[in-house]
Amino acid sequence: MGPTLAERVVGVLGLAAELGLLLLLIRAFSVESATFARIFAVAVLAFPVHALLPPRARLPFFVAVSLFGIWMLFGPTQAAWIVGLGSVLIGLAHLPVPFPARVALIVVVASVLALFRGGLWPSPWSVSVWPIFGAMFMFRLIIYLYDLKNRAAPTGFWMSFAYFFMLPNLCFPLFPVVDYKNFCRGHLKRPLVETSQRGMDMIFRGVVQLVLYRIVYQHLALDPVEVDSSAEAALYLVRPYLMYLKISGSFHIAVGMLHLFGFELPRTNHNYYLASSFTDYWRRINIYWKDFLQKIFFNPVYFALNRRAGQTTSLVLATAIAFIATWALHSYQWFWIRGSFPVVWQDMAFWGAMGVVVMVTMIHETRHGRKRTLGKPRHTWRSDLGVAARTLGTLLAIVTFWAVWSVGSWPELVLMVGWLLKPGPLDLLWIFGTLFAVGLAAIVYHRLGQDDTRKEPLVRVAGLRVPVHALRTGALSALLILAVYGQLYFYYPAPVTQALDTLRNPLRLSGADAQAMDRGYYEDLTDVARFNPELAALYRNKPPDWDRCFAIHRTGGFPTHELLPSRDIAFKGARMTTNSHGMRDREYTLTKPEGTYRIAITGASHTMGTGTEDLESFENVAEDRLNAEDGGGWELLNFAVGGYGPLVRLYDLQHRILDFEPDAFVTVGINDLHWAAKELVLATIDGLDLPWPEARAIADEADIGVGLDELTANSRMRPYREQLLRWIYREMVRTCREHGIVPIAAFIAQPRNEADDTRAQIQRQVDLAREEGMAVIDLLDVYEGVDLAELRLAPWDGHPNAQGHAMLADGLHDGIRRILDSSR
Amino acid sequence: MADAAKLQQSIKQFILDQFLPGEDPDELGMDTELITSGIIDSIATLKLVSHLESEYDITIEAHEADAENLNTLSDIAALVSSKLS
Repeated sequence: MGPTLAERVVGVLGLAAELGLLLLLIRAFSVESATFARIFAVAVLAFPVHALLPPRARLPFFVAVSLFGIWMLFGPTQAAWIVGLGSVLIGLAHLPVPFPARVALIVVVASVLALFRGGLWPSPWSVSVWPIFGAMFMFRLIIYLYDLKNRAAPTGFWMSFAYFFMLPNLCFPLFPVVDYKNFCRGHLKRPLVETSQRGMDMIFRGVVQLVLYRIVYQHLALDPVEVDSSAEAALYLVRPYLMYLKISGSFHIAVGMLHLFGFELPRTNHNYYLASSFTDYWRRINIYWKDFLQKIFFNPVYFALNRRAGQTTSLVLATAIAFIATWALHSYQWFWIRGSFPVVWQDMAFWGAMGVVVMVTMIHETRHGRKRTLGKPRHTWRSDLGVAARTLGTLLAIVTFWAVWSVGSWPELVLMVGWLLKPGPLDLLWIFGTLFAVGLAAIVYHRLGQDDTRKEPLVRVAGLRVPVHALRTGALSALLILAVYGQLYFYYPAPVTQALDTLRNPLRLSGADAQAMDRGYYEDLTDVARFNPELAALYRNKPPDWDRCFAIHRTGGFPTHELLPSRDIAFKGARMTTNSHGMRDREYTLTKPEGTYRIAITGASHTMGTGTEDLESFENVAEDRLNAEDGGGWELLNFAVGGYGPLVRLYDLQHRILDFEPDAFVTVGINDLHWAAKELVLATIDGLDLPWPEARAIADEADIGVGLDELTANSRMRPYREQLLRWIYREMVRTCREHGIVPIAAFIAQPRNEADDTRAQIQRQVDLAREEGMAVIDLLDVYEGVDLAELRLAPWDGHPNAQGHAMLADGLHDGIRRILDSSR
Repeated sequence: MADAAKLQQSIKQFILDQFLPGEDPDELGMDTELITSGIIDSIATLKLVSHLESEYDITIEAHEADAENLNTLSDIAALVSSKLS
């Protein structure tokens, strides 16, 4: 008897919960693009509905969800182009004319599309359409026609549309070449619960691989000019092969998502770093590509020749043709995704060398066979050593091929080999230590066995029989999410938080670095921003964690938060590091160096340089300019923290900044009247302990107490705002003068058009600062004459970008010169 | 029926001799997965097809040399039987 409806619902909800955890995991680690998170969210929402539908309705539902995804990403017009053009191609494949005529018609249409793609004719659709449309049809149409000709798989409207427009393809222009026959035969082949669970395991594995890729991408990047040891040269040469984690991870996720909708498909990649021969490597890496080549090129050539030319000749010719096709099809793929057809020596050398070694290994295996076993293989120390040696040999050869494939020039390769031939003792330790570790991993892997088709044991949870791997994937996901999102994050030891920062940091290298260090076929095809800004813009909608700053620590008191020291994180799309004192700034000593003029600058998010790279904040740019002009002697210390208003800045001055012995103090305000009132209100109603009787007296006078609602409190505070801000400025001036510090108030504008009453309010704070004795740097008009939209960080974020900061830096520099040159 | 059993036994013996020398014949069942489990890879598949073509005087097309037709002894025997009939 099958499960009851209630049991099905409970089972599906359990799987949906596990899938929800995967979505949170993807968001916690900012995996792939913002659009990927949205498309994945669509899959998460569609999953329980799909699972509870009757089987015959599931395929149409998957098609509907996929088409919805296209519409969501591209909008109605471009989506109509994609589906329309695709429908024409599918329709031509089914015309009631002889098969060769259908193929000829498709070639004609594809040639016309190629003229559009190559830029010979302007296309009526957006260029953002090409990478995705190309990914949907460039290979799958070939497989589809082949299976159609051989009647190898059933065809039908829903299956064809599902195959070409499949949902996960929208996030990955470089997509695994899914076989049509496997796609059809795998659909609902096993119970949906089993298939979808397998998909979730694949997705989890893919996420882990993409996070590991992040480490390779960011932390193993080396400028060839900077390489100065044998170990670094080895790392430089190994890195291109390690970068394949990106492809492997995204393929796992893509195929895992198809499993959620009942498509049981083979693995796309399988422990390829531990391949023990070239044929084994070919069987493990990008398996769908190997199957595609074998199906469309190798087998037809081999079978046609074998009956006449004999086995060895057929093998040699079929392999040669398969590898020539691989080279040509990689350029063909590049054409549809990027728009040009590259013919470069590295590609030919790579695929030529791969073809030769695979050919030789195949002939050897054909003649001598390879060890196969039905049960558990017997292991001896000799067999273990053999496995380790074969794995290392294969790995070293493949690394060499990949290095040649990705290297920028022949001299670069010669330079690296030159370094490799001059190893020092420490280099040898590193290199042989790594080789030993890989060899050991190969032995352990072979001893543990590689059969992952075995049934996982079941455990009973709340009356349900649940596969152990479901619990494992769910528990590991939950653990990783808690590790990142839990409040405990802020209390981990520094090495732990730094490791987590590294893993969840989605930064890209800067443009120049990327050009210098990220050459490579796959890198150039997966980084959409490099070749299709329009599609990149669609992918880059506001990322889910845009506003979350992992360097900020909640204190539970006043001030409510602070920056954690020595952090290196991604925040609003830029790298943000903090020094050992918890400043978003360079490293400075607590004691002021002899002969240095030190300025302490404080403010909120704008001054902290939110969304700009570390050295692009206006404080750092102004500091660099002052030092460049005077040959050094200036230190500008940035104490600003996002959300710090004038009241917290006063607190910081009195409790932290004075320890750094500044000569001048600059408080940078945007709308201090508003923020000072808000800070006093929140601190008072939350019962936080404020160290100033004057501030508490103002709150008492405004009749604001603990527990009062914020709206009423703000309303009562309104008449006291000027009194409060005047007192804050006065207290700042008093504190500064007591310590021989020059008090300065700088006022900056946001890159937006302010309402008239806000303008008046902002102008009023300038007057108040002057009246209380502060020197003023007025930068309220600094953006005049520039299109404000060009100065914003992003359409959804009003902070100034690097260009805006450069303009603010000019203003700050001039202000400092005007006020301080006379007093220095 | 007897022919079918004989056919299966003959194919099984070829696989044991060629690809699994020294293995226990009882371990190789009619439904043991050969291609999807990696026992028979693409090179072994070509060898198997050559053997079937020459042994039974049949022609196996390129698109038929896949897991759908050759994954288990039962599948292989069914393919050969369909070609012979």
